[in-house]
Amino acid sequence: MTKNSIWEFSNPLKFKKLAGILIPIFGIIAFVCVITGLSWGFFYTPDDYKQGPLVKIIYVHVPSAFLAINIYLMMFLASLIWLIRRHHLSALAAKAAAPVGLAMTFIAIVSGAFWGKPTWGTYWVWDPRLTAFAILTLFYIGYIILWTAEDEPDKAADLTSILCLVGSVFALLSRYAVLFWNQGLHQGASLSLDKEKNVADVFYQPLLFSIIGFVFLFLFLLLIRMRTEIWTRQINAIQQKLGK
Amino acid sequence: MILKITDLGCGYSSGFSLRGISLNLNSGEMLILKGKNGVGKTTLLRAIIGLIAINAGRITIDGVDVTNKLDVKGEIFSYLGHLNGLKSHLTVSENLKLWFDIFGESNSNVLEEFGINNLINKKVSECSSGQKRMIALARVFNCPKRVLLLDEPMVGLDDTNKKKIQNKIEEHIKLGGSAILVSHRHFPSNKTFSLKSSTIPTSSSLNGEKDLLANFMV
Amino acid sequence: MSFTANGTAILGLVFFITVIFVSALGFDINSTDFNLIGPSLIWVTALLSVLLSAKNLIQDDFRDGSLDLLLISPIPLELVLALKAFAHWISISLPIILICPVISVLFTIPFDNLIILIIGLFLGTPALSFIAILGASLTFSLRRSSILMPILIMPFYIPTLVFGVKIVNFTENTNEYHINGLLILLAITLLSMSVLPFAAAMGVKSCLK
Repeated sequence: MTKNSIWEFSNPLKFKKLAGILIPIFGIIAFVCVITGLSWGFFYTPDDYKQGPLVKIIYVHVPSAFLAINIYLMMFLASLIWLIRRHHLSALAAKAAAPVGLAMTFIAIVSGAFWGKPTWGTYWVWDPRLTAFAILTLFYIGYIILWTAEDEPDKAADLTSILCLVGSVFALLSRYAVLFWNQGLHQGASLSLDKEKNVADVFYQPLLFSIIGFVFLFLFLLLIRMRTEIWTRQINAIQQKLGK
Repeated sequence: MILKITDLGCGYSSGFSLRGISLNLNSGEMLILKGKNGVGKTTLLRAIIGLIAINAGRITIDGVDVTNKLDVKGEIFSYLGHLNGLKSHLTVSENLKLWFDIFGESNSNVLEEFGINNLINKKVSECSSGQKRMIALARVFNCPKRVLLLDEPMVGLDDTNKKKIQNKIEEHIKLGGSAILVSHRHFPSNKTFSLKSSTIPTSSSLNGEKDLLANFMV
Repeated sequence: MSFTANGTAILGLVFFITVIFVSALGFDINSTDFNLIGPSLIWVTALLSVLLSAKNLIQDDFRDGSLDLLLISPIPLELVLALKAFAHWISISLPIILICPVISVLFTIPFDNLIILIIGLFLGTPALSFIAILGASLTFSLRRSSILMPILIMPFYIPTLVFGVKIVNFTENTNEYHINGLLILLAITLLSMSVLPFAAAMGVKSCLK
């Protein structure tokens, strides 16, 4: 493969090979786990005595919320690696992960809303956790938009990485601010309105499947997106060379 | 003082805009960058001062490597680019005071020499473009550092002022300073450095690259 | 150096006052909630004033060539940006804080609440200016930066806004409650002032490459 300008294709080449192998594997695992988790959860677990069948929405809600936050964490790490080591793949990974993260946040919010209305009487409430998810949505959107605003890929990677890092710092700060606010100077148990810590085992196992399934779904989508991005950049580089 | 540039290259991931530039400059020497429009003269000047990151090669001054070290370069170079660096809502004296506070001031009467003393209390936005250029040049020549980096300093100036600036530069050289200029004006007895762009004919392979070769001519 | 920001100061204050007046008129005066709206409205309008006046903090210098000179200068870029943010705070937020007692009459805010509001604004608005300079540093060389910057910056403003308003409007008046909130605002501001100049400097330098 020709080595064009400064763009190093050695690592992305290896990556493409790896991705080629992993993508179908992850896809299958994702498919199996998600289907298992969801159908087991939806159809084979007993109805909650209070909330009826609606509580089963946690099989979608919990994994998506879990991923929404963890994808941002992953983007934080990837951005850090880009700024320090300038490893193009990590910048790509962050860029590719963002829309998936946004989708997960959206799913989490919507599924939460559908769960919330019949159960607690409202689609939305401005408690810390939900406000945090609203902020997270805005972070994702801003991040994605910033990528599109700059043509030069390295510079775009720089700017978005800085945004992600500062965003993460603020997110952490806000989390501790809220804890501080609720408990004063004493750290107590964190309030969680919609995380079922006391879920019985019979609910827990399909939930596990669901979570794992969603994680692999994310990895599957991530790898596909990264590979597509590499192809796009290679095509652009070739076009530029031919054009010049 | 010896300024050495070896094999300099800079540019974006989509392609180098400069490559393989090598040149030397000693005290008391003036170097004119020549080449067609768009070939990279301004880019080279900005790369030397550090406003464009250098991806390949080195710049050394008296043996000390100063590649990409912006803070050090501020002590050694005086830079004037295409833009004047003047805040239009402030007066001339406020502008100059601002930059003198940052870069240093001397007691020279460069304002008088340039004939802009009468503009001291005028807002920069009210000055003509030629006057603004002279003000920017006054900033440089009030306290010039060892090496002048001037990018088309005489754009928009009338003939008298062009002569004044030329004299100022030559005076600076005589006193032991040096200068790298982008200019289309003729300066007697100087080195020139031509930037050429050449296109290797593209065969059917994908290896065709637009490259910038540097030719050094005295 | 920092006075270059002051061109828009008066305009910012006029904007603030105008929006407050107009918004006040937009609410039903007789509803019982009207008196509670005051602090929230003040905070939101202050936020908007900061945001809209911050667009050109770096872009002006970029456009007239001053940014180049600042980058070469011996002054660390972080310090330059911090000073810009600070000057911005002085010129936009400080007048707003000073005019608060007058504005509060419109909404009949009780004196105790007013004190909390003003202290909260004082502790929290510097963060807004410093966040704004980060936004400016990331967007100054991009097209459509005037729309882009507010979008990027908004999420960062939410914590300050939420805490600033929360501590005023509550009926509980325990001192610890207020102090906790003010401490949080202070923490956000201090964090912004210490971290963001470095992040903003990185943002500016990324345009050199």
